[in-house]
Amino acid sequence: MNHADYLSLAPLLVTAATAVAVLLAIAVRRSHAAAFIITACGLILALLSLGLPLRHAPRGVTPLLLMDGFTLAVIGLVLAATLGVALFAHGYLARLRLAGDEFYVLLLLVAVGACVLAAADHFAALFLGMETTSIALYGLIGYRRGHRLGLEAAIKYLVLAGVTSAFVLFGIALIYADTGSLLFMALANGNSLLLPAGIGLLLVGLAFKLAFVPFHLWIPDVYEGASAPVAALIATVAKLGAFAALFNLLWSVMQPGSSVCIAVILLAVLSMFVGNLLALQQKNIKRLLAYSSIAHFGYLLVVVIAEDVLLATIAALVYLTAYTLTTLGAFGVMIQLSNADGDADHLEAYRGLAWRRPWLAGVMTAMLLSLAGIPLTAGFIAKFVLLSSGVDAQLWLPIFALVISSVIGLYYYLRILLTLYRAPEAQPASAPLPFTGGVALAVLLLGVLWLGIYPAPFLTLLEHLLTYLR
Amino acid sequence: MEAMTTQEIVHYSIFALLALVTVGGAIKVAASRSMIHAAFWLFPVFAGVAGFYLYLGAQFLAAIQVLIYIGAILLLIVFAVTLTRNAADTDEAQSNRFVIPVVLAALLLVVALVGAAVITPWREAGVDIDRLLLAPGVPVTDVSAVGLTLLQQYLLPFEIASVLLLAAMIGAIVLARKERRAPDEALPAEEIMAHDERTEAYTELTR
Repeated sequence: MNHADYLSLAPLLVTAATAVAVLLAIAVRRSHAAAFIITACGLILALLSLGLPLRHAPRGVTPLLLMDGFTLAVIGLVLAATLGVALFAHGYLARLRLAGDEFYVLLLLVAVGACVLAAADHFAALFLGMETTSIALYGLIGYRRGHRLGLEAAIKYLVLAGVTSAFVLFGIALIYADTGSLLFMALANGNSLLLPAGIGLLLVGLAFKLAFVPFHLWIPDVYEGASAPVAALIATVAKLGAFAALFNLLWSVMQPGSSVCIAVILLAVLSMFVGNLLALQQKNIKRLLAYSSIAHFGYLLVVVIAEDVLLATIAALVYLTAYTLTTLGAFGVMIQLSNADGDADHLEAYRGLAWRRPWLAGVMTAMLLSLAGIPLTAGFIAKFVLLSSGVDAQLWLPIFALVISSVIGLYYYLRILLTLYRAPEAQPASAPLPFTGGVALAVLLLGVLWLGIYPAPFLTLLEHLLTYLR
Repeated sequence: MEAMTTQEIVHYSIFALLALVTVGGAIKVAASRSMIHAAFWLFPVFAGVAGFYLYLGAQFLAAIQVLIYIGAILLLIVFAVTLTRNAADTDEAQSNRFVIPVVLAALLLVVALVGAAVITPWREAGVDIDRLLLAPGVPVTDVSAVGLTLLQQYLLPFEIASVLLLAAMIGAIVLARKERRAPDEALPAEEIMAHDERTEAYTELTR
């Protein structure tokens, strides 16, 4: 490893160092405020350090990690989303009077794992990234020790992650037996049936992590059991890393009409329909967002099978950005309404919110419209770019499924929206908006609207990033 | 089919024996009703895998496997089972209502994997197994080579693994301790007592 290698890894190194710094600070004095400030500063520093690898990109740092334009963009999103969750968690933990110091350490370690996943170009890195993310998440999901559902969710996630690791490792072993290499590139030159079997097992493992139908049964329970900030973390950071790995991995083996391609189309179409249909009857907002995330990642699978590399990568990044902003925003509003009596995950908690907390209701409205893909929000632009990438590759079946299931999705998003503006019942006065959470929500709202109204600069930026750094 | 030479018969029998011990043990781990039995059945599984490493000429890995898996992990699992209340003598049902679809999916997987393994033209092993096994004087895996690979070519995953262990450690501490409230908040006495038995003992003493 030389100078340029370290510079290329700067964002990961800074994030990992921040985790250690928080641990050291805990050793000196246990303080929620100190842990939060170190975390926030470290994450901002890591985001700024994204400029360092730019000069050397694309660069393979040892055979393990590849820092190219796509990876750097995903790492940026992961770090920004982690920062958002940290800002929300600050107010949440204080309201619940939970000791928060270890929370931030685990949060940073999830981010490190997701960054490694996004940069992985080698199966060892893929596996280590996956494990780091999930092991840190066990602790976070079970963080509220007195909460029965939370502990149940932690155990469910533990068992699920164990099963996933078994599938992924078996798949890697089969691929290695065929190609004799652990590099992603080797996937292109297998010559026996072991390779498709291995890729199939690997796909099952990643489908569990990303909750594609039929591997989705765990996700509503885990979202419901985990505290709202942790659910937001699973929905954004953990899924961003896993999806980037899936994208990098499948890109080299995807040929139109191959068995892998058919399997991916099947996963995509099933996830779109089943996710949206299961969400229809949901009264619990966390479970509803879980089903909605299943559908959104089903839409995203379209880019994995698209043909034009540049268009598909831009579509993936725009969709991931819009999804991250929107999901974080929706969870952010939920977190602001949650208190020591429990998370505000029932639909009733939102009845008449527009009269009680007009500001929060406004943010929630924008987020719901964006999730549904209504024009003038980020969700619309993202779906538009995604569709144009699909049309370019003439993937008519997934596109047809995407359009139909988006219309189904409209129904349940609008139902929450109507609930927001119903006449309020007598509700207890809630806590004032904390500064950190307010800032995060305002930034997310601006992001969603800016991307929805004037996306051109962002698209140009991505195009430059991808054409010069690939 | 050609007649097997004596050497081949020896190799196949060693392999069959190791496979039987490993897979048989794994089946017993999954099928045992009692946790403690399942824990002890892990022993042949780990030992069988160590045997495979030895058979393939990876003496160092075999030694590590025995030291870590049998010496440390198995022992810890047995301790954890015996020290956890009720876990040692539970008699839970081994199946639920999903048993039929699960068995079908598993069979499908078995057919796919066995099919792939049978059809695949397996390359001849690159190393001469006789040299590995029957001539113990020849060093095949060099411990220093393992160390150098780990700290040069695979330095980065080595470091990431340390981050992973850090996550595991902090996560375990978070999950194992009692729920701790933020220290700067004054709590009603009842709540503290509910959360901390020591406080209860303390109030008893000072009453």
